This record gives sequence, structure tokens and C-alpha cells, in this order.
Amino acid sequence: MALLSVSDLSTHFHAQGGALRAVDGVSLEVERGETVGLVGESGCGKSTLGKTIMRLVDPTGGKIEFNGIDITVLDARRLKAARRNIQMIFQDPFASLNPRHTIGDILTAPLKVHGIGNKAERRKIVEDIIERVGLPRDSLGRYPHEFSGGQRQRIGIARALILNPELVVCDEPVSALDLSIQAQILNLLVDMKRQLGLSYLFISHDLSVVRYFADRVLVMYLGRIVESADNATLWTSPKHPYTLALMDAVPDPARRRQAAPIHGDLPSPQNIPSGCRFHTRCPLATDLCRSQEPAFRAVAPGHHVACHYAEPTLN
Amino acid sequence: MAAPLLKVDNLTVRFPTTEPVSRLSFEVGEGETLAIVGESGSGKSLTALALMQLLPRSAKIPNGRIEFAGRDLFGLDQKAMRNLRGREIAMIFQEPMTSLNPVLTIGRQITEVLTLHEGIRGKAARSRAIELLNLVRIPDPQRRIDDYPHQLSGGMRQRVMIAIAVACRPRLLIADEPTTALDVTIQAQVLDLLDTLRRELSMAVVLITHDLGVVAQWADKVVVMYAGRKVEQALPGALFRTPLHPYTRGLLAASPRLKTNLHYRDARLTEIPGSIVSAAGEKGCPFRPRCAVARDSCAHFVPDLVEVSEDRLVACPYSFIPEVAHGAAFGL
Amino acid sequence: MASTDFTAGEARSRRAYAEAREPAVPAEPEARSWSNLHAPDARSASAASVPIAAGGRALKVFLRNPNAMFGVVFLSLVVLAALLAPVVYPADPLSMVARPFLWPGQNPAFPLGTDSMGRDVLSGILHGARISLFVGLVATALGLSFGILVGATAGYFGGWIDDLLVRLIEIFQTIPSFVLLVVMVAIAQPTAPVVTVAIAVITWPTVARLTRAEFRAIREKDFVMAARSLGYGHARIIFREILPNALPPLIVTSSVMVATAILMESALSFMGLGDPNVVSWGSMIGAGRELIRTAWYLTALPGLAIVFTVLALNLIGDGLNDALNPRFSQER
Repeated sequence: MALLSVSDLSTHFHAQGGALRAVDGVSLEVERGETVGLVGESGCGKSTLGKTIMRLVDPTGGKIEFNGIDITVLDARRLKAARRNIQMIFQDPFASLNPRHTIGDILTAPLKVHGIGNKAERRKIVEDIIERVGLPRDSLGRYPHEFSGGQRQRIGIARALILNPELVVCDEPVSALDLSIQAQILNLLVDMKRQLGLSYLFISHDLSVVRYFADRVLVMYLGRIVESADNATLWTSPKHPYTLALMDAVPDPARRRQAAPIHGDLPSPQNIPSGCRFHTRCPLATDLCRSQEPAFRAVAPGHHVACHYAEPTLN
Repeated sequence: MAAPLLKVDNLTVRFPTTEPVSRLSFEVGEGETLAIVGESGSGKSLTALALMQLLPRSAKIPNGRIEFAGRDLFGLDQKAMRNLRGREIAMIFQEPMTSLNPVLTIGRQITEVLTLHEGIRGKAARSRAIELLNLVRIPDPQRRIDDYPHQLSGGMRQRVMIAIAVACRPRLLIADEPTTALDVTIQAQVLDLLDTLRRELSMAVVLITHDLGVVAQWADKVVVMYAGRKVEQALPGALFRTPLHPYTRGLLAASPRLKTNLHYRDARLTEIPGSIVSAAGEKGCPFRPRCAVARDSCAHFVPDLVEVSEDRLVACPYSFIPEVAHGAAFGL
Repeated sequence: MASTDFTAGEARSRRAYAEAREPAVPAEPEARSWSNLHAPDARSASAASVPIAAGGRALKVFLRNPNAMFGVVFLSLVVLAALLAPVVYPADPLSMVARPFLWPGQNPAFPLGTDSMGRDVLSGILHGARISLFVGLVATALGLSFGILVGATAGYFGGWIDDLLVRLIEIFQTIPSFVLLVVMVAIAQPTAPVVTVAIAVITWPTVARLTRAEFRAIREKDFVMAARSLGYGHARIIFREILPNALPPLIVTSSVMVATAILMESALSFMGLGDPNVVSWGSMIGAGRELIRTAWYLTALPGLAIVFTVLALNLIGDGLNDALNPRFSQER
């Protein structure tokens, strides 16, 4: 049984000019010990998907099963218990820590809320985790503004790990950091995964980072998963034209002054195109694409694509 | 060799307690793209503001010279500088939402520049504005011209910013992180557009970015900045093949790449330890506290920039190790 | 090994090369030595950043503001007067102690003179400070508490709860507040507690609106998301996570609210709707107003007391605004 199993999940928002279908029928699984990368551009619904799985946003439909229990139907008390096992790391290390609390308060509060340990035991847990993420113990008495972005992200990671979760949803954890700091944080996430046996749902717009960090990759476009494959397969034989375009858009020294791979903007999730969602930007679109939505089908074992023209991989 | 369009010589920008830009020199030729790369805190954005003479009041420029098309910018009075800004030197910023005025239509904001600098008004200005929107590849410009900024996507807004910047056919365009707020596919479109305009309007571009990939793909010449200083200058090919300065090498090694088979299960990323704040108050080389090859002498003096080959400068005495192509890993 | 970022074939040659080179560059560290344990930037960065806590910084800005300091000094004098009144003048300030219409300075025993009934003006002003401060502080405390409660509930929960509470706030805001105050005091007994509660009733909607706006903005911040995902209860999120961040504008508002409450109490007393058994600044002005031509000091002295106290509170409010506003103190 998968650790996390999401089936046909939708999150729609009420907005002026009609429903905004941020997440529109997504199914995915995260196995124990696995890192699943979720890539897509801003506005594709990947952050909303992460927040829905965290139950920070209410789903419109579908199921989120964690360890076999559907957490969309839990009452407040049982949801609180379930939350211990799923935690989140946020993108902006400046907005995700309460500026009015010391690091010690920030890390102790979750333990208090969940009634873990007595005062001395809590102190020990907090000291252990702050050292694990690479900060000295005297950080605990300081306030967030005394730390740099990379250090704050370490604190954010410590907070996410303090309840000893099984799954961590990482929402663009390194996007706001400088390049020289990104590697530090990615290495820290790898270490924590090894030491604590974590599973990650790793949300990012940065393909290079996902290339390094994920075991399996899901590509999301306008609220839907359009391609899913294991890491090696996706980069060597991508099938969906959108995946190809994303990869071609990553700046590369080998492609000096090369033209942009696709034109146009992401359509509004309030006004999703008919047929294949990608047809307005797809260089290969035909009448079939404009009228009929492609099924999400297997082209090889473990490799699924939602495109009418994706050829099966020959063995 | 023709005189460069822009020549920055020994520029220092100083605040009461810090010196975010120290003795910076570089040149930009006509129609050339110079990239300035660095992380936040490297002084790259303040350099751009210094070029436009838009530094905050508390900033002082104790020494240095900026020459644009043979004119000394510090010798110009306010009025002459205002005239130069927007007409001959234009700038675009990172955040297209906040750099456009939200209560004016985009047409109004484009025609404003035309009226100010070229005295074009009314219908003529409007048709020029439509031409400009066409130039920056905004679909359906006749209709779009009456839109407000919030009705446009991020990429479209950056195109509008570019249209405003190139309205008077400037000779130099300063682009400060023009694509940082944009998605990869949109980033590729905007960079492609900038380069096309550079060619069509034969303007020079100073591209300020933190993204090494962007530099590699679009720049003619690269200046790497760290803590206010130029630490390395090179042609992009050479920079990626054989990065010389320990900082540049660290950056290239630390960034995961799409083209390499690096995966977390079998390899750690190479880290540059610490952060740029450790350069504050450093008497010697600003990179010393994070440097893997630092020696005792690095703490005592700031290394000079040395020309190691044509078009190649580096500010580290310990970087001259005969090299196999580092850059082979990056597809060069 | 540093050469992990290469394709398999290249990696082999790189590794061989790197090993061959190892002696030449002895300082080249292995990747593992930059393990996450004790991030090398941990101490240096915290030393380099501003070590003053957010509150300390605001306090410093506030203490350096001469206007705010004048306000604090004057208000302290008023507080002192209120505290010392029963010690210096143990007798009832409403009792007749001397001949009427003694001008200030005429009799050293009554430095500020006496009124038309021979009551000591200085004693009245000192005792009046008690009632003014009591009404001002208690009404503000009540209005603030209720306003914060309603505003926080509306802003945090949103939805139908918000709709309902906003309607309630609007009902109170559409009724002219002073008329409501007069009506409430006229219906109930005009005692000091009644006046206080009545003033609180008309001031809470302002606080509620402000709190609601702050809560709606802060509710969406990532640290609140984090708190929710950690399973914190609503009360904890409202009072421990959001409220401390919503306080700065509320503190500023409350200083102005105290001033407004003092003015309202004075206005009520002036109109004869105050508590007849205690002396207040407003009632003193009310009693002296018919004699303004012959004995103007009877209105002027308590009037000045009101003016300076309200001014002091407003100056404090401005000072707090500057100190707590993130635009003035970059860190919050």
C-alpha cells in the first residue's frame, strides 16, 4: 500500500467570472521512502495540490488516502492526529516563520500542541533537531530576523521534522535561495531523508533540481498531470510535448541564442481550453487535440502520458 | 578597436557602513550583451542603479568613472542625465507588476515616454505604441493597448516593460533580473525577444542575473561579481569550460544540471559553505571565509584582477592550475 | 569526491584527473566536509546581522523621537497629578473652600484661583485628571478588547461568520456615534462607569474593522499555514500566531482612542450629561462657560489640560506609528 494515495482530487475556487479549477482531477501515489517530484509552471496548480494534500485548502472532490485512511473526511480531532505524519516545508523562508517568536518557541510549540514529552524532554528534542539541521543550540533564543535566508530555511525544515512525520511536502524549498545556498539545503534534505526515512513530495518549477532530487517525476499542466515516469525515463525519453518544451526552455550553454521552444502564456485556470489542455500552445496540435481530451495512458510500464500522439516505448 | 559604448572604471559605491560595490571596471561594446552574474548581496543591482544614476540618497560614489558614448556620466547635470535616461540608456526591472503603474493603461504608459522624449502625441503616439507592442510580440496589440497592467500575465507585463524601454531606440538596455519572476517557458520567450531586439535595434544589453544557464546561453561576455567585486571575467564558453575563480567553480559545481546524470541516491551536491554575509568586514579576499583553496595570505590582501589570457580576468592568485575542461560537464 | 557531477564516462576520467591533481591543491576539500552539521554560516551570519530584537529596535526609534518624548513626559505628569490628587487635596474638590472668583495668583493658597462657587480650580483639575484618565483608559481597554475579539473572529474564520459580524459592525458605524452616546447616557444613569461603557460601545467598531483587515492579511501568510499544518488549534493561532503581528497598528490606534474618549467624556460633562458627583475637566468648562467674559480662566485652564493631554496622546500615537511601522524600521 502506498504511503500517500491521491485519487481524482479536485480543488476549485469560487472567483469572479466562474470557478477556478486549480486542481482538476489529479491522481498520484507516493510510496514509502520515495521522493516524488512535481514540476510545472506557476499557475499550473502544483502549490494548491500540495496545500490540498496538507488539508490547508478544502478539496472539491476526490480522495486523499494516507496510510489507507481518507483524510478528507476526518473530524478535527483525528485530523490533528493525522497531521503529525504529514508536514510541509515552505518556499519563502522569510514569510514562513513567525517574526514574533524565538526559534525555541517555534520548535517547541508543535510538541506542546501534540502533548509530547515534559518540559525537559521537549527541550532535548528541540536541541537535537536544531543541531541536526546544522544550527548551533544558541539559535534557539534568537528571533527569525537574525538569520539569513538559508538558515531560516534550515529552521523551517527543523519545524517540519520535529513531529517526526512520514511524508514531507516540500513546496519550492530552494527557489527563494541563492544558488550557493541551494546545494546546502538540498543536501540537508537528502541527509534528513536518509536519517529519518522520510518520503517527499517535492514541488518545484526548476527541472534541474527535480532531475537531481526526485525518484519519480510528475509533470503538471493546468490542474492535471500530463506525464508521469521514473526519473531516468522522463529525462531520456519524455513523451508529452509540454515536458519537451519545459526541458528545452531550461537555459543551456549548448544552445547559444536559440529561439524559445513554445509560444504563448499558460491559459487561465478559469477558462481551460477544450480538448487537450495544452493544444493552445502545442506545436503538434491537431483537430483531434482541440476537440477530444486525451486519456492518461501507459506508454511503457510506469510511464504514463496524456497525449493522443505519444508513441509507446518499444522494448 | 572601436571605443566601447559604456566604460565603467574603478566604480565604488559606498553607504555609511558598507561598500556594496568596490573598484568595479568593465566595458560594453556596441550591440554586445554583457552579463553580470552574482547572488543577492553581490552588488550587481546597485551597479545597474549606479549606471542609471538612480542610487539612493545615502549612497556615495567616492571614486570611479562611468563613460557612456564618450561622455562622462558624473559630469552631466541632472537635466542632461534625465534626457539620457529612457532615451539612450533604458532599464527594465525584475518585477513587472510593480514597475508598471497599476492605474494607467499600458498604452498611456508607452505614449508617455514617447511624448516626453520625442514629443510625439495623440494619434501618432498611439500608433507608435501599437507598433511597439507588435515589436515585443504582444498578440492583438490594437485591443491590448487599452488594457491595465493587472489584466496581463507576468510575461506580457515584462514585454510591455520592454516596449517602454525600447520606445526611444536606446543604445544601451540594462536588464536587472528580467526573467527571475517568470516561468522557464516564459523566460525563454522573453530572453529570445530581448536578443532579437538587441539585433534589430543594434543596442547593447547589460544583463544582470543570478542564473548561470541564462548567461551561458545569451551573453557575449560575463562578469562574475562577489561581495561587490569583480572576481572573474570571461567569454561564456571559456567560463563554463574552465572556470578559474574558486567561487565560479563552486557555483558551477553546486548547481544541478538537466544534462548531467547527477542523482541524490548516489551523489551529494558540492556545496559552497557559508553565505555571502561572511564577506562583511573581511580585510582580505571577500571569498576567503567560504573558499576551498584559501591560504593564510588570502586574509591579508585583496587579490588583484589579473589578465590571464585575452578577454579573461581573474582575481585569485591560486586559480592558475592548468585545467582539463571543467565545462565538459555542462555540455560544451 | 568533488567530481560527482559528471556523466559516467567523463566521471572516470575526471576522477583520475582529480586524484592526479590532489597534491597540487592540498586544500581542495572533499564534499563530505561540508556536511550539514554546523552549517558554516551559522554563527558568522547571526553576528553580522542586526542583533537587536524587533521590539528593541522599535523602542529605540520611539525614544529618539522628541515629539513622542514630549507626549510621554506630559502624559506622565497627568498620571502623576491623578495619582497625587487625593494626597495633595484630600478634601472633595466640589466643596466650597474660599471666596468665589479668586483669580490665579491672587491667593497663594489657591494658585489657580477659585470658581463662581468658591471651589479650588487646581484641586478640580487634579481630581479631573483622575476621571478623564479613568474614562479614557478603561473605555479604550473595553473597546479594544471587544473590537479585537470581533475583528479577529471575523477576519480569521471568514465565510458566514465574517458576513454576520461585518453587518454588526456596519450597524454601529451607520448610527452617528455621538448621538448614540448621548442617548445611551441619557437612558442609563450618568455615572462614570456608564459613560465609560457607552464610549466603549461606540468605539469598538473601528478597532474591529482594523483587526479584521490585519487578520485577513496575516491569515494567508506562510507561518500561519505552517501553524495549521502542525495541528494548532484556532485559539492558539489567533492569539499566539496572528495577534502579536497585528498589534502595531492597534497600539497606534489605541493611543488616539484614549484621546478621543477623554474628549467625549469632556463633551458629555460640558453638556451636563456627565456624572454630577465627580468633577471632570468637561464639567469645569461647562460650569465656567457662562462666565467666559468675566472669568475666562475658568474655561481656559481645564481646556488647556484637555488640549495638552490629547495632544500628548496623539504625539505618542504618531511616535508609535513611526516606530512600529515596518517602513521606518526595516525589520519587524
